[in-house]
Amino acid sequence: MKTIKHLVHFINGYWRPTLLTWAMVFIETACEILVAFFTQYIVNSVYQATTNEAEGLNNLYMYSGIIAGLAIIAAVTGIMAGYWAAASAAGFAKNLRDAMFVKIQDYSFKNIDHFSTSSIVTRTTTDITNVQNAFMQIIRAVMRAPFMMIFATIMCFVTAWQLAWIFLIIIPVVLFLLLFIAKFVHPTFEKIFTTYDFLNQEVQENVDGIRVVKSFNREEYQKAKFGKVSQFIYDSFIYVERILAFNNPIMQGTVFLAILLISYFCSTIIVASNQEVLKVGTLSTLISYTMMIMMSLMLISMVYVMIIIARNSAERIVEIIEEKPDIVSPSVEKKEIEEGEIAFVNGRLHIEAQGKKIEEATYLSFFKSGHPVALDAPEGTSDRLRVELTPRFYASDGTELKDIPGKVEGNSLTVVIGGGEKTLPLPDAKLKAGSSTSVVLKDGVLFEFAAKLYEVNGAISTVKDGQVDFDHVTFEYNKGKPVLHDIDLHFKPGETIGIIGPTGSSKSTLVSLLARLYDVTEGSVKVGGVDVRNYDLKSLRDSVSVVLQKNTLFTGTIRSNLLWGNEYAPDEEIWRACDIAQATPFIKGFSDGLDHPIAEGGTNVSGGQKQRLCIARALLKNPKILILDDSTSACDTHTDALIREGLSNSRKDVTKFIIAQRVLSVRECDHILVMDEGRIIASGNNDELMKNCAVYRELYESQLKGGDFDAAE
Amino acid sequence: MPRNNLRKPVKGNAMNVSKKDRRGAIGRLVKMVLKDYPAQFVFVLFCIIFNSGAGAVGSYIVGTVLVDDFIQPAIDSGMTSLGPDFTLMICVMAGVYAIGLVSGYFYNYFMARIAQGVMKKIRDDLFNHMLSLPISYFDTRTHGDIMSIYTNDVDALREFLSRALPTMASAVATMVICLVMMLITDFLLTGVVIIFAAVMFLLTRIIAKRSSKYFISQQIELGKTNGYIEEMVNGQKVVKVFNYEERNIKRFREHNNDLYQYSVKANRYASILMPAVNQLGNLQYAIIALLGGIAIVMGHQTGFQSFSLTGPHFIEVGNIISFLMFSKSFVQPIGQVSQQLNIAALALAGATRIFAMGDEPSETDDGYVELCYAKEDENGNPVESAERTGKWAWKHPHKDGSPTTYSWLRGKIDMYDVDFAYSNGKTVLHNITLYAKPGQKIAFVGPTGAGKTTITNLLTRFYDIADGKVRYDDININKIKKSDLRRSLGMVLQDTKLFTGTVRENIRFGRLDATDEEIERAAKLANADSFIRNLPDGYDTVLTNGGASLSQGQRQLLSIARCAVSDPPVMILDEATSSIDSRTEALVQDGMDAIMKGRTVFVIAHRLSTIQNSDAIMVLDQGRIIERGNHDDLIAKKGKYYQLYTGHQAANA
Repeated sequence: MKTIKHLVHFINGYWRPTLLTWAMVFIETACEILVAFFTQYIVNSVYQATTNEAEGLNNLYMYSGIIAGLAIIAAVTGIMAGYWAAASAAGFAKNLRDAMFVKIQDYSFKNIDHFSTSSIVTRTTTDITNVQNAFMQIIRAVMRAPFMMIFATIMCFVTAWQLAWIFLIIIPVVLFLLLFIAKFVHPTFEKIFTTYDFLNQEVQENVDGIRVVKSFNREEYQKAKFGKVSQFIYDSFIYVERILAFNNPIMQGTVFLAILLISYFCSTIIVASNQEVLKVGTLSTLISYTMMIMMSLMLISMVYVMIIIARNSAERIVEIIEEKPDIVSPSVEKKEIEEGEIAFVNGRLHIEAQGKKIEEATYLSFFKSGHPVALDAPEGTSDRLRVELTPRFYASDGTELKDIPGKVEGNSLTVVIGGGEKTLPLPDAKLKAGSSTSVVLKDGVLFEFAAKLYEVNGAISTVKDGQVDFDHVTFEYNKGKPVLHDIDLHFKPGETIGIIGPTGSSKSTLVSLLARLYDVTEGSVKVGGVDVRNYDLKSLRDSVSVVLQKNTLFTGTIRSNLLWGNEYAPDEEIWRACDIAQATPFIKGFSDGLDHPIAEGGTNVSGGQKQRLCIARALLKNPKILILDDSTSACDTHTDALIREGLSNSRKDVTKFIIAQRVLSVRECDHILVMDEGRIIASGNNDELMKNCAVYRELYESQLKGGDFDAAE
Repeated sequence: MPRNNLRKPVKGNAMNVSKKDRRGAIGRLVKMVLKDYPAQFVFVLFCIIFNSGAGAVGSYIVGTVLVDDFIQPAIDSGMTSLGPDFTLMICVMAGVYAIGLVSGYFYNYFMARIAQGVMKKIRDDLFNHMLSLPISYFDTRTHGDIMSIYTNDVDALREFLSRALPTMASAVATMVICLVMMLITDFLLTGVVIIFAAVMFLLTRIIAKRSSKYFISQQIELGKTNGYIEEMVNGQKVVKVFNYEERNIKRFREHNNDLYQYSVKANRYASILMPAVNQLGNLQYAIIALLGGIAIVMGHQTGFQSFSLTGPHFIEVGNIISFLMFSKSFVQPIGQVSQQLNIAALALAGATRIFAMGDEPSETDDGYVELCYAKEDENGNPVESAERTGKWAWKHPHKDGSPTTYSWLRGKIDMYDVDFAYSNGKTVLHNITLYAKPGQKIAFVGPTGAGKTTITNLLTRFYDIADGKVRYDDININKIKKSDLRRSLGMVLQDTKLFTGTVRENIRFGRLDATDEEIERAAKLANADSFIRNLPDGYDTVLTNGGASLSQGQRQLLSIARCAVSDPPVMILDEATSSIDSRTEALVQDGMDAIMKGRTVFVIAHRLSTIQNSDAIMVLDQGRIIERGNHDDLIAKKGKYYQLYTGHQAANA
């Protein structure tokens, strides 16, 4: 019931078609009842025509006209009901789908792990379809059935109160029987469907493991195993059908019984009263009502079954919607400051406001004209100053050039105008808070930027640099089972840190804390000297770029995938990232270059190419911290080395974490951490570890003994 | 996630199957039913006829008999009671209804039995046949496509057989019986009903045709939206890492809006049908009454007589009452059938695919040389033994009637000049010649796509060679029974496949008659025993989802134990350790070394350290063996192997 209440909420925005549907259903049902009501008059008129021809015929014309009219109204309203019901059901499903999808976007890794990806997929696809179909059926039936039953019963009293008792007895009995059957049968069906899943799982395992089945000659064994499950399904179905087969006879039997009783008693009364009390037509009308009442009872039992069937799906949907994202950005308050001065001098930002004077280097940031770029003066989480700059470009004739991408790096400004990239010195400027200044660039293009000054409390939106501190960090996925134990590490911006250790030693877990993919259980993780929990999530993740171990590409083109890193990035920027990631040669090898299509999951490029694209995508974010989690495993050692070289040459200020299986990938790092079971068992550079760490030495020797044939890629 | 996968929207299912195929599928279904359930089927047919007949006869009695033969005469003659004949008639009616109800129950029940029986047979046959299909069947289509036959197609067929078919059968029976009863009652009014029925039928056809077009586009749009959701949810972690959420929502909403539009259109069109058909029914009602009334009046005034099967007659009030009931019963099935038609189309399309899979040719096996356990006789020659002896022999029956001969299984495998092409015609192996002496370790190295795995596929006869010879202990492997050939070859693959069941069952998969002690011994040999004992229920821990709760290394150890328990004379290790970290690999390697002792082993690996100690290393490239020899030979040769091996070393220095 709670679930239904929750779902009703999603009709919002589609209440008009929903209510209209119900109104139309109401009229339609009423018309149909009236048709049945007038049936008796039409029959009576026919009867009358046998004795009084003229009057009988006149009445006959009139009543057939009325019935025809009612039928037309019922047809029109019925069609209208369907028309609006379609909008209402589709709208409901749309809302539901939207709510789920949007909600999932707020999920943390922990939330995703909680449901598992495949479960989320089923819930957002099949479960929604189930609920939508049920809703489509129910929305009309839910009004039609009760209307029809109540109307028909009332009309029975109006038509022949002497016989109405027949319905008063039959309706509850049938309703009870139908619901009883539905209730009885449903659990068995549930069991059958669970077994179905099991059966399909059997099939799936055999399809996936067909080589194993065949090489161990296990065909007969597997057939027997499958046969057992299949037999169980058969037996359960037969068991259910034994009961379910009563469904039809009960409905039919009730109709038959009602017809018998009506025929007997109605005929007796007609004859006894010589057509004074009840007439021949009454018989027809009462039989019509019987049919209608049965129809509505059938509808009710159908709705009941529908609700039961859709209930599981609905519950699973509600679970998704009600799940609380467990990592959210801290809240932020900002208040505009009217009085203040902002100046750019030689690429440095000077702010003077509220008696404070701040000087900061401007950070590299991408922009698109018309969209504000925020720069925080990071001084803790409270009372910070924030400058929001909105760049705009105007052509020489004064029209605004919209959505021009560009970037500010130090004291240079790079924009892409007229198909080319132009780099200019960032003009020095001094302006008051809330005002704007402009300079004329080449070709008469006017560059204007407006600056606003705010006092900000709460979430920090700028990561200053790539300094990393793990302060006595303990982390557990499940309560009481820590997978990281008291990790205390400190790295300066621009350092390269290699991490090595066996599967399950929590290497990935350690670095995932930096982007706040999970929250620490104890201690704290600081980036740029600030606890990651104080950052605005978006800003933090823009600055901490992770190339996940299980990385994926999405349907689209190479370009559309790379733009995930930075949607404003001009092609020049994309190529630069590809150069570092060693992706340029193979992209150039495609005739359509960056527009080369990518299939779902990136299955149409090789593993090594996919990894290089993933690295390029991460580089496009221009992060302050870059994490490569086993990201070059499918690349040959030469390419791997080139990528590392590119990174250390062109991204000097970026703190780099490299998780690898190969010693070769980490041996040049400033720091190498050897991890095992959630602890750092040794750290130092290659020489130190070779001297002091037996595990490292062993790994080194065992791996460098032989080559690696992937090099042939 | 119960039953969800069963209800997956079928993507464009009914579209890609031709009418002819569907008809063929109907024929085969009917044949299946008639073959296995001839008596029950006939019984069901009779029950349906009785069941539908009862309703029609009842309607006939109410109008034509009760009103015209009892009520009207009673009123006309001024009587106030109906007498015992009337009560008798009511009892007759009750009897007819009772027969109808009983046959109703039986037809529902037996129909379900037949449907479920047929479904079980289809499922079992399909599965059994699937296991007999050659590997190429599985390699040439996605596993999702194969699964969809089980989840979507079999399910659509079940829905059809158990729900749609009985409804349609009963609808047709009702219509036919009603028609007969109407003809018995009156021709004129029957004509009216038939005209209306024809109009309704046409209307139904037209609307269904139009709306199915919209439904197809709705399904396509649904597929697109679900596809997008699926892709994005699968990549949700990447979405988070790249702050892609807002852009993601924006793109999703475009899909969602499109789906909404199509969905509204499709359902709008479809929902015209029911009200239109229903109200045409009411309109018909009015017209029958009107025409009937006029006919009665004309009968009185001009002596107009209508006809029925029983001859000319005057139309009476009771006739009309009967007809009003008939017309409803006659028309109702049109709506019912039209609702089931979509299900039927889907089911038949599904049945076509099910039968298509059933028609795929099974793996053929012309081999006659068998594998058996063997003892040594006094001359050192093999003699067949019923029990496991740890020794194997090839058993050669001879067609000319000469006594069966035996030869020892030694594990000598030779390939001469073997070429191979997959069905697309591209030759992937050229002139492969190699000799593996019993007990030798032969390694294949080379880049992805060089043909390493293909060679092993030829040994197991998952695929057959195009040209050349493969000899196993000097026997042409085509002459060895496939099941015995495979029994003699143990495989450990990179991608470990475990089955739902206990750890013990999974190891026993290697050899069904293995005792618990043998299983544990094999596990110990494979270095798997200690981790198994640490599992919650030890050897009885139930694994689900292909052993997802185990680490990759642990799964690999289990598959090695599985291979060990089968105790094969020859082993094939295909990248068995490549995705395991070095430390676990050492553990797995120890396990494997223990098992490899005394067997001929083929190893595919890309870590050269794994294969250094091989007796022979084949360096493959583009389907050819470009270098061969042991490690020292190859190093001395200073070719590709040397280059890779030392080049790597140089890079490290």
